[in-house]
Amino acid sequence: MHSPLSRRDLFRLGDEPGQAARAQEIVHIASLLLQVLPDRIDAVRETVEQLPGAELHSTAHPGKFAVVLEAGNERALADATETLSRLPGVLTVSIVAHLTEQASALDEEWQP
Amino acid sequence: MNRRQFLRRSAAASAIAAASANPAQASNIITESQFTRMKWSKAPCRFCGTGCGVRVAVKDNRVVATHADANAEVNRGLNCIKGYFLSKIMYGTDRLTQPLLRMTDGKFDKNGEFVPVTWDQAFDIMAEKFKAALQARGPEGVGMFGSGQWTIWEGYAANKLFKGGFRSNNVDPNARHCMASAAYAFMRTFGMDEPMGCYDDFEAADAFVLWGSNMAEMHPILWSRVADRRLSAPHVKVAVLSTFEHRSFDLADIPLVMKPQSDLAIMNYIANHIIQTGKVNKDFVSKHVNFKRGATDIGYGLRPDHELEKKAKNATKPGDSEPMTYEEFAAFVKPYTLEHAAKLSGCPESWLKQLADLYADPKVRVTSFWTMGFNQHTRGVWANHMVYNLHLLTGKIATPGNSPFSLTGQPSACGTAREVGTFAHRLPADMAVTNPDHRKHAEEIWKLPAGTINPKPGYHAVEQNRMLKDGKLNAYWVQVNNNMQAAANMNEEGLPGYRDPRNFIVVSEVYPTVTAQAADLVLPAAMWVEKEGAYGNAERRTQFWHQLVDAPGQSRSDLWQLMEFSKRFKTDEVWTAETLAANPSYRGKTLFEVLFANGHANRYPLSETHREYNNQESKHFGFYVQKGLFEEYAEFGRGHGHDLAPFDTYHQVTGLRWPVVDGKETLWRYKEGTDPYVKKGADFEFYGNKDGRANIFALPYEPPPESPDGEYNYWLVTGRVLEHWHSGSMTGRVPELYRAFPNALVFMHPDDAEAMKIRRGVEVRVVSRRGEIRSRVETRGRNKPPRGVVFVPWFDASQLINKVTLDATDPISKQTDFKKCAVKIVPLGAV
Repeated sequence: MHSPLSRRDLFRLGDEPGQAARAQEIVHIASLLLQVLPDRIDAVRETVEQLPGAELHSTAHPGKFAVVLEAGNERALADATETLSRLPGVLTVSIVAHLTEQASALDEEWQP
Repeated sequence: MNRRQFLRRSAAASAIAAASANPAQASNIITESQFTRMKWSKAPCRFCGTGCGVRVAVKDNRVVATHADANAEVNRGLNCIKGYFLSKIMYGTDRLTQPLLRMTDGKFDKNGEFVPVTWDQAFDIMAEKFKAALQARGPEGVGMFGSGQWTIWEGYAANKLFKGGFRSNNVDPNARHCMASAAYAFMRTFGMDEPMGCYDDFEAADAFVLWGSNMAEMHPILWSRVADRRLSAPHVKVAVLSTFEHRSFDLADIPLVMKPQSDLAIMNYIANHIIQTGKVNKDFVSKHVNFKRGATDIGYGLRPDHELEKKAKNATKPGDSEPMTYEEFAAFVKPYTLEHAAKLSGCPESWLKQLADLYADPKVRVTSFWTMGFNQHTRGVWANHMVYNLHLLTGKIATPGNSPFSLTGQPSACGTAREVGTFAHRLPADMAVTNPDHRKHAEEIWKLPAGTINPKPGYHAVEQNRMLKDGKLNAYWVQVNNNMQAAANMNEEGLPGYRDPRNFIVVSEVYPTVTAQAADLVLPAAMWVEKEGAYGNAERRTQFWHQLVDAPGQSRSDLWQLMEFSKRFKTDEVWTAETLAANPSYRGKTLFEVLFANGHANRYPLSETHREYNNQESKHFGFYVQKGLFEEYAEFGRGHGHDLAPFDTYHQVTGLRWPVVDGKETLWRYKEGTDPYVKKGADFEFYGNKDGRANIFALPYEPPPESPDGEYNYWLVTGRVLEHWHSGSMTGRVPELYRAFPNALVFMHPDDAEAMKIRRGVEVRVVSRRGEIRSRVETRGRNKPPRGVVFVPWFDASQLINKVTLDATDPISKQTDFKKCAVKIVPLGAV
């Protein structure tokens, strides 16, 4: 018989990255594209309205909606994405854009 | 407007543009100054077989961001959640960065602890063990388990080293677990591997049928294209067949939860329905199709001394067939009536009839999808044949929207495992080691003496584990896969061979996976954009990328490892005296000189590498390694229906679908007008077969090897979840993905849980005749099994569900069935 290998002490699944890689005061702004069954759109709209910093935009295409998210870290973005993808009638959640900016710069005037 | 408002509007605008699914309009706007200062380059995603294009941002030799490539035709600016977190997969805190050897007191000891060693020390012991095995057992004593995640040149180099250098065909990819049934059925039906259609079919189809595929979670970007078509064209129908309800059912017009194995009966019923209702496309069938009767009672690919194998009539010749007529085929499927199919499958007759009508109606363009539900099946080759039967009877094939489409799970299962031919029986471009002409052709391109390539197929994946256990395969190298976690029946057939003192196991890895920890020597590998690479996706698209960052510490690409290791062998040590006597110029040369520095594979100078990107291997070896290997490999397919574009082209474009003829890719093969290989006036031509015809096979329903009984009373189905990719060795290191789905669960019907008096979240044992794991019960959420079925995903290294599964395979493809075995569920604390 072979003795079982101990794996648990070697695995470091899900570890947070070290201090060096940790973000500073950064705000993340992302956009998602959702495909939603027509009879579920109102429920999705309600959920998006309850997510802090989130807004829903219609597109010219049936069943497709853009959602803008804003959060202080990527984990919150991932959580919001999970929440939306688990809603009944949400067929797909795809990630389109991800922008970051120093929190201190967000209120500056901006002329594109 | 302030900066926040501007960024939010920009983000919304790019999502709205992506909604148009028009790459010309979509663009991922990256405005932030720190991002614009970065260097952005293209690469395909590291995960599944979809082959999404991403843009990769590098700063200070580190990948700091990725986003979906708006110009990539596959994904058009969209990413799934895994693809979104690509930038983090290389930076887990437990990344392997130096070779590790099991040692005691400074010497190799199989029972020792892992100790860091130099590359020289690593190759010294490895060469010693490989030479000992070659001497004791000949070419059959050494072997390699490779990957559908190898880059094209890595797989090609491994194939050359083992089949050409060591004269051993014991090289097989993990694609054996994934795509082998599909590949065999392609060869048997069309004489050529891989789909005739492409992703453009999705926008042209009137109906989609999912046979054992949960695209919503496993191919989410392709699913978004299917959903687009369904939502924008109301006449489109979606049928979803599975042994349990999952997220793809959200879009299903025809939802079918069937009993395991009954897909065979359903497809024969549909064939019968097409015939009985007079919907056979007689013109197409008479011109382009042959009928064959396949061997039956073919066993279950278990060890030959297993009772089920001894009992099976045709276990030793499962692939046999004989010609039959259309009339005989019609009589063969006649017993598969609607009532019979409904009884075997447990599906309502009305749904089954609606499904059959999709295939039968000549006006409905049907695209069929399948992945592991078909391929991981002890009758997987049959299941693949049966769906081709439906498309061939109706002539719904090789034209836009009419597409039997085999999806793939790995980024280069097609590109590397299948096209390069890294299976134990194959050579590049669909050639076989058993065919003397094919061996001769390969020996000529590889500049090897005639007779070098061994005519006998090597050990396939499952057989490799069995031969390790039996002590017949003694020096073994695993690259780019985690087979201890992935292969079935780990306790009985996996671990014993790895830990047997007769065997020496080498694992090239990025993280300390279950497989790495079962090894004797661990070699730290470079991954993804730490090397120049090429992948081939599910629609025949070949995609390239440059080395964008350097690998950490001493890690080196698998290509470097293979080529550097080949320097340790002289022809005199591995080839026969007769071969060397007849070919004295090869005498005294290293395998590196014979295989790689042979004046052919090394003909492109280092100066041709891109100035802006590093190329570790080419600098080390002194020539443009990737280009030399790719151009040599491409000689196999050019002019033979597998034409690849020139090497440099692929660095410019977001991929091309082969055959690439006169600079043009091919979207639909076998059809006049879209495929330059089809002869004028032929209309359709299945030119992989000498007579230009595709084969319909008459095959029956046969039961699975193991079914639930009184004691082991549940079906166990294993599979995947959206957040993790395969064994989770990469996605588990992304904190956000890990947290989204940290541990595997036992998905079961709430009434089954209630009958056992257990609640959601309760810990249970999942027990089979072979092993058990502990997990927690989930009665809600994304997967809803019917009563009597449980679903457990296999990504979780702390819950090795493959201790429980059965290593039964399809007897033709040798691919394991991970979808059907019998288990019992025991609440913890119960006896």
